[in-house]
Amino acid sequence: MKFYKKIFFSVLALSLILHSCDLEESNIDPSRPLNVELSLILPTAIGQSAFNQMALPARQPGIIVQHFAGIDAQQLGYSENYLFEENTFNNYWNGGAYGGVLKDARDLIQQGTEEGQPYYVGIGKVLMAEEFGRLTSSFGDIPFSDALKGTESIKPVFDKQEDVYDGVLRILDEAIIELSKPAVAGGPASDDLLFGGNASKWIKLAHGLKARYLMHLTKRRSVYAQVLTEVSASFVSQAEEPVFQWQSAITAANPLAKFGLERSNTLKIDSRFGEALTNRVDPRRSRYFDLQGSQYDFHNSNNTKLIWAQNNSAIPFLSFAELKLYEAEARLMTSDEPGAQTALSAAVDASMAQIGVGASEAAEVTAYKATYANLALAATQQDKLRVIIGEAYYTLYAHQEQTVWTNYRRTGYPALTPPATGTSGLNPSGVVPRRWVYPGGEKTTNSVNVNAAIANQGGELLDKNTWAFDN
Amino acid sequence: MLLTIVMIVFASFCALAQDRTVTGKVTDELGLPLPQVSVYLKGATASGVPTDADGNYRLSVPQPGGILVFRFLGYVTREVQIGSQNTIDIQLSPAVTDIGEVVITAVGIETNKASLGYSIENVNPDDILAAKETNLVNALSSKVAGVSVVSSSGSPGASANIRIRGNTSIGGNNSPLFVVDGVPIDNSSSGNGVGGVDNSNRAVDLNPNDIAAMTVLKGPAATALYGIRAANGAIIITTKSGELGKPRIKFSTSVTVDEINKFPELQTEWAQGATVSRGGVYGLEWRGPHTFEGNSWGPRISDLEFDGSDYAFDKGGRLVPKGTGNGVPARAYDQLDFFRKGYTVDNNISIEGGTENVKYFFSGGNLYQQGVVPNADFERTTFRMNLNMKLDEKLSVGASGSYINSGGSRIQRGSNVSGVMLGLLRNTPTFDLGNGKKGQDAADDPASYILPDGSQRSYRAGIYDNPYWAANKNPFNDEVNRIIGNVNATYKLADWASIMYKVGLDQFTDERLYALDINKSFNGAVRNLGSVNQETRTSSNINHDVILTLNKSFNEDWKTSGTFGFNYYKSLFKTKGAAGTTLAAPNYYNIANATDITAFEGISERRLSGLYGNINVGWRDQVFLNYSGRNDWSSTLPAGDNSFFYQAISLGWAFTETFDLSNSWLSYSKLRASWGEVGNDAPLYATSSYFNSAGNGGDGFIGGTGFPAFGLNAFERSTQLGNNKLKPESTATLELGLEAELFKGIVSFDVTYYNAETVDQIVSVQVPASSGYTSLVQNAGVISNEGWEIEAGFKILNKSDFTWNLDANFTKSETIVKELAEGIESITLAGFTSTSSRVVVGQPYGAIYGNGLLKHDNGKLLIGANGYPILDPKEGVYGDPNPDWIAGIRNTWSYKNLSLSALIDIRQGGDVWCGTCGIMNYFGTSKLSGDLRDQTVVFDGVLADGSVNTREVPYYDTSLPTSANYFQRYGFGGTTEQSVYDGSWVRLRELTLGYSLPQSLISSLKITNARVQLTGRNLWLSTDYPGVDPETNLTGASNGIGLDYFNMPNTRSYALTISITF
Repeated sequence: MKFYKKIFFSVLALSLILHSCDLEESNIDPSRPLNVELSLILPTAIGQSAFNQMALPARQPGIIVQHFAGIDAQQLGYSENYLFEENTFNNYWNGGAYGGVLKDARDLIQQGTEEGQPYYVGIGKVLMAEEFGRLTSSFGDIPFSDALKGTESIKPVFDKQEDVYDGVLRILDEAIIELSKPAVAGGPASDDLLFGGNASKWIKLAHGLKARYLMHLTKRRSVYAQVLTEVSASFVSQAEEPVFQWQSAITAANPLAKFGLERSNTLKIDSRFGEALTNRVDPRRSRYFDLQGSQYDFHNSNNTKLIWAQNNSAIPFLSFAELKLYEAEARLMTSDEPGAQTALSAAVDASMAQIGVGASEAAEVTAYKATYANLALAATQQDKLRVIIGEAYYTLYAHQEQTVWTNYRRTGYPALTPPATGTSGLNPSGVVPRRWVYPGGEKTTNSVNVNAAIANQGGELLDKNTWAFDN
Repeated sequence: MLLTIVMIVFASFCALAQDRTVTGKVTDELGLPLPQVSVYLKGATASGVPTDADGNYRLSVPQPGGILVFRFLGYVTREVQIGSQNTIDIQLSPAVTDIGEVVITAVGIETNKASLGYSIENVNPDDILAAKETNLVNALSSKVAGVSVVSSSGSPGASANIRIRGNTSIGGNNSPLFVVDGVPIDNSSSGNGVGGVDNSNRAVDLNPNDIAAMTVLKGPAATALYGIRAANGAIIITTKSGELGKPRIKFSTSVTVDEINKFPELQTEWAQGATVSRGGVYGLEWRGPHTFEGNSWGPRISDLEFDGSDYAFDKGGRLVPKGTGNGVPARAYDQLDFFRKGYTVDNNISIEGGTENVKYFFSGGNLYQQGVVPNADFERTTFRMNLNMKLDEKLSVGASGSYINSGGSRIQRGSNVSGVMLGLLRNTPTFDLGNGKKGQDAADDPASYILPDGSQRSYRAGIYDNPYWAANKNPFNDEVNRIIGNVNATYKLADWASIMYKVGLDQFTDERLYALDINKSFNGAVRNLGSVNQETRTSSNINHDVILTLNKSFNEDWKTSGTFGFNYYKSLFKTKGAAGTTLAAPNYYNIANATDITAFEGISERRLSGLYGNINVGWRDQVFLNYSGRNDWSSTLPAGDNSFFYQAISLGWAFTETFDLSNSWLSYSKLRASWGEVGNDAPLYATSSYFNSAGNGGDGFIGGTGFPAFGLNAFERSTQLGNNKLKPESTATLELGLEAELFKGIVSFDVTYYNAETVDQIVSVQVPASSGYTSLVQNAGVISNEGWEIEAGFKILNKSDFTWNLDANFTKSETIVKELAEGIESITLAGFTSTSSRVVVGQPYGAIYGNGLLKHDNGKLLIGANGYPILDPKEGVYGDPNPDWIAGIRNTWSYKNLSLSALIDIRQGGDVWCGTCGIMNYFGTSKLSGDLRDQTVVFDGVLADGSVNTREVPYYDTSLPTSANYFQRYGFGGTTEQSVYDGSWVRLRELTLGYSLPQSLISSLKITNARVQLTGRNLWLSTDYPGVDPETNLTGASNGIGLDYFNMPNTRSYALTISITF
């Protein structure tokens, strides 16, 4: 049966020939690119920064400063027991910060430098500086100069908080230099979700951020004169402030609104804050909360007045009001009380305008300012400072909780009473938390450097002040 | 090189001349030819010859004749006077023992078990069938030493986790390879996360009724020829094929009834509510569903009554203190009313037969399983055919194939507010989930889960889904269409050599549609905007094999055989789909109903080539040497450096033959030793770093932003760093074994010890995120596995019509993570940020990691000044999910046509994190939280100064906020440490009573065999574990183990099977 034999061996030979093909070419993932253009990286860098501003790194300070209060599950543990544990910040540290904004910013800076695109480099630096500022104010010493280098330094050492703040300010200066260079073709345009590629506005934002992070150092350094310089180089009107426009689609919605929806009924506005807003007849109160029975809701899917918790909220990256509050404080502390009063007044006006307090409520605004934004009613400089920081407590609600917490830690205002059940192994003295413990993920992968940082700071528990706020 | 060795071995023999010739044929008890039987002249073993493939022999004998000896392992040796005969045909009958049973070793080679130098085990297909498990993997549970099976739950079609000799790989697959008729098939599972549904592992597509034989290959000496895909052992399945004779029709039908077998204990004493401050003084208050209250830390139910008011959540009205309402007492409802009786109907029919040249087998089967959770079901329909044709003397061809359609309606579970177990176990005792109805009746009546205004009726008004809502409004449907088959041709080159070509295909499409309906609370607040997802997963595996088989023995003393082959494997997996959110209309689960839609696509392609050889040399049926070597080329390794070689050697010595002890008390014993290594390639696409479609997240409580968004698309660098310097990983195993039969086979045992070490593990190592990356693929880590496997059999009674056999297996295995990458302390396998299953240096694989309570330096619990234990701010290891040992003990009694078999399954040790328990304690729904809340306690521990704590404190001080109580003060669900429990069990896994109808009764009906069988599964379970059945795993067939967080319950079943053969 030679016929069969021929067929059999032909098939056999054919199969052997067919399958000695190239193995290597099939190990390139056809569904993912190996390189992309700068314009495809910028949107996610800005989007992640905006996300961090409104997500967990904002809610936790909001709980600490008693704007929010958990009523169920983990949120209750945060506000009643201060159970901010090692695992609480893993997601932010890994996905939001180092593996998020900072990684994207590094790529913008590196690839932008290679491609001769100064504006991408400058924007990358602004975003990087802001995120490092957010991190160091929360964690103290952090990986900074040795960070983001991949296999070149796979276990980054930690820098002292003081050095990180200096580095943040330096990066912002470098950003200003890059953004001041002449425009080149192929620069950022519609991919720039904040300013549509307008470099001069980015320069103003960089100056504004310098003002913010200088203010973090008030307990350590004399910064007010420089703050005034930076504020004057920043936005001159509310119209200029950078706004991140969230979308009504749930896949691109404001994180605070998403939290209200996806984790409904676990977090409310702290009733003390809700009552204070009511008692002060704060014209903003109906935009801040929706009183349901005895509970102050920050989110209600049917209430479109709650402007900070809409799916499509427009959130200022750095508000004009925040700048004016810095200016008021700096002027007050440099003995320019009239200037301070003017700035404070402008801050309140900007805040009211921002959230849509209209002409019909003008009388209420006037009355509010006369009572609560009036430095003349306070006796000492400290009392006047308490007025300014106190107003910031109401102005910066929800969209800039990080700053409210920082204000509390550097001035002690407003006075907060920790819950009786706030004592734990994480917070032996039971005080209002001064910092966060290092994330477990960093501890299990970079233990030598984490332990060195903890030793350097004399501890990492919630009641341990970091360098900037310890004096 | 291997070929040269074979040649040398063959060349070293020569035949001896004699005076006259005797020929004949040796057959077995069924008349089938027996090859390789030793035929020799008594007193002159060296002169012997083996029978050929057709059982024929030809031997020169002295003119006067003599005595001819026919000896074959596993058969009774026969001696025949030659006399003047020139032709002697003879039939051998099997020995009573199973030492000589035929096992399928690698690449489909049938081998006599006695001639192996490594551990291998057959599983009786009748035992698989009798287990009445939908999932073939579950049916292997407690039947084979060294094999552990943990089902994820009792959900229809749920996956099961199978491991042979434990876990060896951190990042890779740890499941054994499933091989059907020589073709590896896909047993992957996907989508078994901490939330979602219980998905299947794809071996669920195999119909146990089609299985003719099943062999378990454990160590690398056994699996070397399958290469790296069998690095974790292999399950070799041979399907039924036709046999010579007239068509035979077999029909079987079975009906199984299921019910839940174990459930966490719930309190029935305390109402929904918490302490509430009135004028600065806290006191217990009922807070009903309208308040969204999550806690059941309210007043005593016996202190409450209804007020008869109009209340959407309860027909009886609100609850008020006794004496202030309408006198109708408040009551607790039984949450178990939610479950229904499940049932399974399994019908199978087959026809087989054959002529000299064509043999055929056809079968069809349908299994429908309805789960214990309302609306849950699973269905599998299979068709199979097997054809073998002899085209001429030299060439034979065969084809086998099956078509499978499977899938079902799966119900959400786990960490998931849309899951039934979460809604059921957090539900307060005073809320009637079914609104007056139970089980399927309540599930079929929307009034149980929807309020008249269209919002959800649940104890927290839509925050957690009412389980009846979850069963109706959160559909998950999957449908798999699959073809598994092969065509093959074998050409006989010579009596002792043949070459085979086989091409096998395993291809399936898995279509999934899952949705969550729009969910609102009574006050109009939207809880879920609704979502719908469609996903199509296609998998195609093609396998080519060319195998040359040589089988030549030159004289009686030396038997040699060899196998040489080439293998090419290509796998292509694609996933495509669309995710839609914000549904326009309720109750309409179509992607067209979504407002925002994102699409996704993923492609994975892998190719593998291998060349291998295997040589067996046997001396006088006493000493057996086996060598195998294989070289693989894998597409997933770095280009230009993708080739790797590994080898195995084994030696078996049946010393009872050498010393001729067969008539002593030790009738048979063999020592085995083997050493082998197996390589493993890298995960797909790990040699490069990519950009991913961008997403913004990092919250942990909410979903992130997914691009395209804001009218733009975006990409971001993956946080996983690729590595183009990866080497293949390698596991080396030393295995020693002793098998023996005592007292003529009355007692038999097989003891195996193994010690394996896996080095150069390819791991996606978690690196400090501060480096800008969160993981780096690298060769790192050493894992050691060490264990003992014992199989033992006792023929306790063996009377003519009554027998009693006891078979037992015992497995002790320990897997220790010896090293990870430098400076890396742990790698997460699965779980939550708070509690997870990890690999931790110096700890057993999969250690349970999380938080706990502070200890004093003396090891005792540290108690704070307030009298309560203190939360430890550091995380660490709090449990070992690996059992100390497992054992299966089967007693089989048969009396005439009746047989009874009982399989007891023991697991000693193995911690399980009962996250469910921690949360139930937190919310006050567990019996424990009910019993303790009005008690006080002096915690057993010491104060900071080392003195013994004497302070008596209440578990629940009702003058403080509820969050201050013992069960809430350590956070949501308490600490990991407080919820880790011993998962030991003893269970009656199977009880089977079978009766074969006597021939006298059925032969007149032209029935050759008729059998009735009653099976009970999980009829009895003893365990201290407080949750559901501790045989459970949240993340299914994944590497993460020991996690229970609102897992679906397991089941107990009763089955009746009738099978008839015409």
